[in-house]
Amino acid sequence: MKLKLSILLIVLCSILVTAFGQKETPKTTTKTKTKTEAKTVKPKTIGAKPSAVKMPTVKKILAKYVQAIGGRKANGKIKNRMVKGSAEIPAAGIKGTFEYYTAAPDKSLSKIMLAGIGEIIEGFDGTTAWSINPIQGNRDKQGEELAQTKITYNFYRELNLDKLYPKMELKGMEKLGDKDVYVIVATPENLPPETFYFDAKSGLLLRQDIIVISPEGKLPTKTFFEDIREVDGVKIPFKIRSVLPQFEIIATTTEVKNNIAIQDNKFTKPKS
Amino acid sequence: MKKIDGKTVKELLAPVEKHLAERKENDRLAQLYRERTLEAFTNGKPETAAQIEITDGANKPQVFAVKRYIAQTEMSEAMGNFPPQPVVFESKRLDGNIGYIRFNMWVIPQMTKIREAIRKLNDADGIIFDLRGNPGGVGGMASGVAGLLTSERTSLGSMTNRESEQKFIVYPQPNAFTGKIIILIDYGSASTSEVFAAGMQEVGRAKIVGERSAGGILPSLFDTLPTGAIFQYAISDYKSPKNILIENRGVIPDIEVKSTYQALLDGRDLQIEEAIKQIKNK
Repeated sequence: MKLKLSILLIVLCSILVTAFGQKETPKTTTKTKTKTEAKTVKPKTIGAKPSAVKMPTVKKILAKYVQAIGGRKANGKIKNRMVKGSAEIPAAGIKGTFEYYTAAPDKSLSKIMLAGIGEIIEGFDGTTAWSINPIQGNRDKQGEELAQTKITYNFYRELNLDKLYPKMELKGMEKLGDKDVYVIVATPENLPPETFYFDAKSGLLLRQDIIVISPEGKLPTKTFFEDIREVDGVKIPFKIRSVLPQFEIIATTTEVKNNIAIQDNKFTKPKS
Repeated sequence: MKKIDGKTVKELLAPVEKHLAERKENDRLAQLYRERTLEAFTNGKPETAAQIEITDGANKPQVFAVKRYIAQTEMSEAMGNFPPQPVVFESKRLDGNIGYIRFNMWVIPQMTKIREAIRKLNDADGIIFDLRGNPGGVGGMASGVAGLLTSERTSLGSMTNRESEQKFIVYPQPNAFTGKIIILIDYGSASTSEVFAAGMQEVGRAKIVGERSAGGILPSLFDTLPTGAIFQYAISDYKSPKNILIENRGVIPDIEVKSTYQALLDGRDLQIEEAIKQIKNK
């Protein structure tokens, strides 16, 4: 799942910001960092540039990553996946649950139930990316948003990063918390570049920076992949934290099932 | 109103007046602060009474003992730190085939009620949205409701923070109402009500009737402090579709109509009367 579920939450939450009048206008412009930002968002650069120190190639980093998440064979055996868990926006006190179904080659369905808001559903049947929520109603994704959806919802995305991102450039090594990470800037076709942070030791992807595109705007988002566990020989992050300019969203997985019976029409947009 | 429980309005408002003098709020927000303060002084335990002194139409004092009770009002579910709110909703068909929709606050349970009301009023010559005294609520609902009233994708404006800009995009919904829309506002219309009014006005989808709105529009979040108090803080700015800052300025009606003391005594609502006139004008 990685980035897929968090993108849905990000776009949704950006429109749910509560605007309730008669407040006092803040006079100062002092920026206060959140606890999370202070801890991990700004990794300390240790200055290791590809040219200064012998660094692995992008190809090797990606190969190590595939190996780290279980290898091509184990990942290739997985044809679909169901994930359940909880979602939270601590800054707003919003809590909920999610169900996420995804199937090869690129189908997905996400259902998020947020207390006080209701059920938000998004799907992609390989052609049409659609969304239904209790506030905005129904809509189909178009343009750049649809293009980003196609890349994000590729079932074997983790195995095919080099194909999905024609341009990948190793920028160097940084510190992410106490870990050394390789920083790769990856540019998909006709979309803004993204930045991947691979753990130098384990090979796992620990963070991804992306501009989330929607008609509402472009949201710079830092997503952290944590509590990585093995299920059916494949490693999956059980905790995903997405840090947006306004707040942080946390998705915590409680259940993963691979290769279950999923009907193909599950991903089709329902008739309104 | 002259007195609450024996204390004069002037006495009760003294701390507020001092605060207002220091902050130089606009007149509409100042009025809201005063009204909310007085409202707070009428609160108390159920089954007790507030002694309220007013002057009547003949300028003679009248004293009422207003009994307090727990209102049997539908409440919205808490949305995170945004606490449950009363859900008051009214929709009807006025004479002359004119729809009328009024709700007290932009909270999620209203969305279904608004959607159903618009569908029922689909054959009306026009719909009046009465947002007078509506202080706002969930920001995204403004574009959600607008989607039921337009057949083209548009934006009701944008909110900008230090790192990004987010637009209030309107997604047209099937069978949208495309007749005339009049939005009633006054000094008590704030926040999401102002996003809706300013946006609909500037994209040319609605005519605004009434008084200039509060000008208290900044999108915000709620946090709960260790004391249990709720802390609301602004997180971004808001600009209308024509890039106008609405904070403090408020939404300026296309047709300004003020409510008058005499009209209230006569049982007339001058602003609704003007809204009806605007819909009837071909």
